[in-house]
Amino acid sequence: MTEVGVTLIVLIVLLLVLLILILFLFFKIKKIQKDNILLRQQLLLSQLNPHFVFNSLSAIQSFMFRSEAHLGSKYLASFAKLTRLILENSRTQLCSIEQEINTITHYLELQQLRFDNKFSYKIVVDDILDKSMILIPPMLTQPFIENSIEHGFIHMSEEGLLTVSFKASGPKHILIEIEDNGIGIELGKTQLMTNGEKYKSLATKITRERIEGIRKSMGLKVELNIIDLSKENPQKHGTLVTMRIPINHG
Amino acid sequence: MVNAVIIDDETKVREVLVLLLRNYCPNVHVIGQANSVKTGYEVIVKSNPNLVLLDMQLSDGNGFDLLRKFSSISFGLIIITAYQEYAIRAFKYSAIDYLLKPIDPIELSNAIDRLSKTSENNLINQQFEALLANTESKNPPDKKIVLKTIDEIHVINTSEIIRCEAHNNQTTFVIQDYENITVSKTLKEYEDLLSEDGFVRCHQTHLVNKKHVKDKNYIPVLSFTMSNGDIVPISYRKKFLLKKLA
Repeated sequence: MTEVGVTLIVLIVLLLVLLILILFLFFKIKKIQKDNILLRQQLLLSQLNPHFVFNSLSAIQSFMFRSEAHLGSKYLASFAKLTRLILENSRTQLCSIEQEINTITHYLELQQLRFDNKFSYKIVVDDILDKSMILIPPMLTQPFIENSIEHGFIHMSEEGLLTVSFKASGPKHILIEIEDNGIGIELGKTQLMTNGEKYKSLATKITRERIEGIRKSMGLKVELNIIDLSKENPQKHGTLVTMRIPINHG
Repeated sequence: MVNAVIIDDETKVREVLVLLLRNYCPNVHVIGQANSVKTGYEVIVKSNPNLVLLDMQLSDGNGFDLLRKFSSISFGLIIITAYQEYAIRAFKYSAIDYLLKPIDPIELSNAIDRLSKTSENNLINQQFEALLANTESKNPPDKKIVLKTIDEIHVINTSEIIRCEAHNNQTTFVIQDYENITVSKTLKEYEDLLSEDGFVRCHQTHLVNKKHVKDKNYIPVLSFTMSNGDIVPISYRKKFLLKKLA
């Protein structure tokens, strides 16, 4: 075989390898894009949970029939603002802490209305954090806030308290904490089980998938921890969810 | 006077129902409220209402869990739900009315009007029995459907329905060894419902049960011969059905 022939074969093999590599990368990128779209749809669906949406609208309807136009309009505006923010969030991967607090506040106000002020809430932000400049993935907290309200407080006789705090954690990270004084995640799980349903935490599943998606598409590593407070101190009850997120700056 | 009980886990929704009834259905009197399967059962047994407005999602279970506690019922039933979840199909089969939140006042008063016309307990119980039979197992061997005419209720096994035919906004059911029944609902509604029981829309005005298709004809027009000898036309768009069935 001539030298030219050998070079030709080597060249062809190289080209083939290159082609396979390109195809492989192409499909991998396609898959990541597809996963991302799916993730966003899931996020949108979990935030616009039909039970939340339609029961909130029913609650607003009740003001109309009691001729409390002022309150009705207030909650209707809150509902509209929340929907708008959720739609906005579904198009971007990051939002400022300020916008996040805005979204959570509207969400909590509507949940308070639905649950007849069965709970109160506090949103606390460390002074050293620049609320308008620090960016985080939007509404990572929402599934856990929903759990606190719909499972943590629902069987309680006393008033529930929910605290969402944004804290600095070292020079490069932000720590988000969602703490409630509800029945605690362990008891919550068993209660749901005795009702005949097999319990699987949708909030945890959705969030873990989303964290994985965020890691893949943005290289952002979010650390999630869920603690039943009674395990640390038997005198206490409730659930603490913490998320440690590397800071992005706008 | 209709004595009603409201069972919903959300305080505000119960409130709005009370207000809606007061404004739009003055003959309905709310005699009790509850928020769970447990308290709902207690309030029904204690106050013996004529009408129950029942939310599907309750704090300790769902509406079915509550209904299964009864072997027969002596009240009219209207289901309330936040969205059209899968469970709603079961109520469609039983021709039990359901309302979506937030509630349209007109739909509420229409549903209550319809109920007052079928207030005879044995008719309500036929619907209720069909509901329980259909929901006892995931895939009941013989699903029942309730067909409501102006003055009668028929409980029919879906496997015995040969075909359905549309006339304007009404649907006529042709049933094995049974009289024809005409119901004032569109064929489309029954197509959606019965498609999972092996029914196929073969023509704009015809829905057939696959099990009852016996033969196919090409002349004078594309058509099926059904088990009772009826000839049902097939529209040109649906001619692929000729290969799949018969």
